[in-house]
Amino acid sequence: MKLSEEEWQSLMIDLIDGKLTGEMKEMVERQMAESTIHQREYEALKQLLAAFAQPESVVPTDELRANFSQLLAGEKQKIADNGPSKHLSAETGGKKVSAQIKDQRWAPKRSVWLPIAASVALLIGAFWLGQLTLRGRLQATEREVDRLRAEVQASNQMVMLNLLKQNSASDRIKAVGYANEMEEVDEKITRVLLNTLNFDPNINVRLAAAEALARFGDQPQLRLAVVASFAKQTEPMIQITLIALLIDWQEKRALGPMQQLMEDEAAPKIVRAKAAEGVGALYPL
Amino acid sequence: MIPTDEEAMWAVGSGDLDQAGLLFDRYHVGLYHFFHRMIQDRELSKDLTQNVFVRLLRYRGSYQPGQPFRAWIYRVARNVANDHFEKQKSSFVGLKPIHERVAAPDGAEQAEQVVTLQLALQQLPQSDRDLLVMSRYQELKYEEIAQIMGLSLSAVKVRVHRAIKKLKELYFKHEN
Repeated sequence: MKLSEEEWQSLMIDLIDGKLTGEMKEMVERQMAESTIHQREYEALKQLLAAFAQPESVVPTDELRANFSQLLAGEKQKIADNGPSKHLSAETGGKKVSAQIKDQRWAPKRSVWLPIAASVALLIGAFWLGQLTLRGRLQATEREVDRLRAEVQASNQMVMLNLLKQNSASDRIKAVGYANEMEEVDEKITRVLLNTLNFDPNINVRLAAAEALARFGDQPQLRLAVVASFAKQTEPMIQITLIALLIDWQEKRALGPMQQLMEDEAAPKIVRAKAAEGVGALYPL
Repeated sequence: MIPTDEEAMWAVGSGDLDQAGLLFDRYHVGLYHFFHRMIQDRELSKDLTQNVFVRLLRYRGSYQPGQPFRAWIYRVARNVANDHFEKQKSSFVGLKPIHERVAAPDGAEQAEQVVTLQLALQQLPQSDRDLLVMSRYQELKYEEIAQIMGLSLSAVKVRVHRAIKKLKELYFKHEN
């Protein structure tokens, strides 16, 4: 294959970065072995790119944090001072202003009312059901409560599954969040979370799925699936999150893949360090 | 659940400014290094990092939900750096000479490599330097850099590789 010098260099960079695999990698290595010019070029690139890997020795001083805290406090004060005054007009009486302040404070968090309203509705429902029980319909009521619970559960699941199909990543993150709110989670949901962790195109959605799986540490099969997923991950943030999770679960079956990652020279240093931490934490003494 | 960067920034945009603290914790060191690697000046890097967070708070309303936050904040950082360089050009206030700014770390060979690399980087055009700082130091993906710079993925890859080629020539000229 005839390649230009620029294409050659590009392939060498990809080779150093560990981005070439299979036949392409073999082809580049084979052709390089035949040319001393390319070998020299490769060594030079390797030396140059290794110089980037030296850790940054300077760290920001505490002054930066102090300044930020001051900035944030100032900004909050500005909101407190200016926010309500925007609504102030000649006609506005003092009482109205305080109502507006209240409105403003609650407006962005209006969704908070939703669960409260739901709780109240549930309470009223429970009270009504309680009345029925008192009338001697205990068994029927219990059946009814179970049915309602199953219905709520099913509709929660449906909302979650539908949200997961959305194009927007924030909707899918919301969907994953639903799993955290469900009291009972069946296999279908954990399977969906695992699929999301493995295949969602957006890293933040995958991260949210990894975090949502944390509460299922009591399920050995699921833990094994997470170990298998961890072994296939290439995204540093996901790898780091899963390492923390697997340490938390004390999942010894993760030792192999963690050791492999620890020794993988193509992986970022921080990931390798975290993997080493994991190996240390899981290694049987 | 710990909020993602995107959730935290969306909350900041909706008025929950405390979430900005979380984003400061996650990003201030990376941004400080980003500036320091570009300009090799600690004091200035601190000021510019601070400016990024000033803009984060000032333009919090412009953040769209679901927008990848890392690319968003680095685009802000790049604008902060560009504005600084523009101002510098018009006011004729230059940086100290490069050899006074590049701080050598301990360890003779490593120190030599770092200084040589910094000297070579400083001689690159700013757009090339930005690309290399983002891709090689900050380890941003080509996809993220494409979002930050408004380029296609393949254009980013070609530019990064060309910048490496230029850098390689400068690096070995300094080394010899």
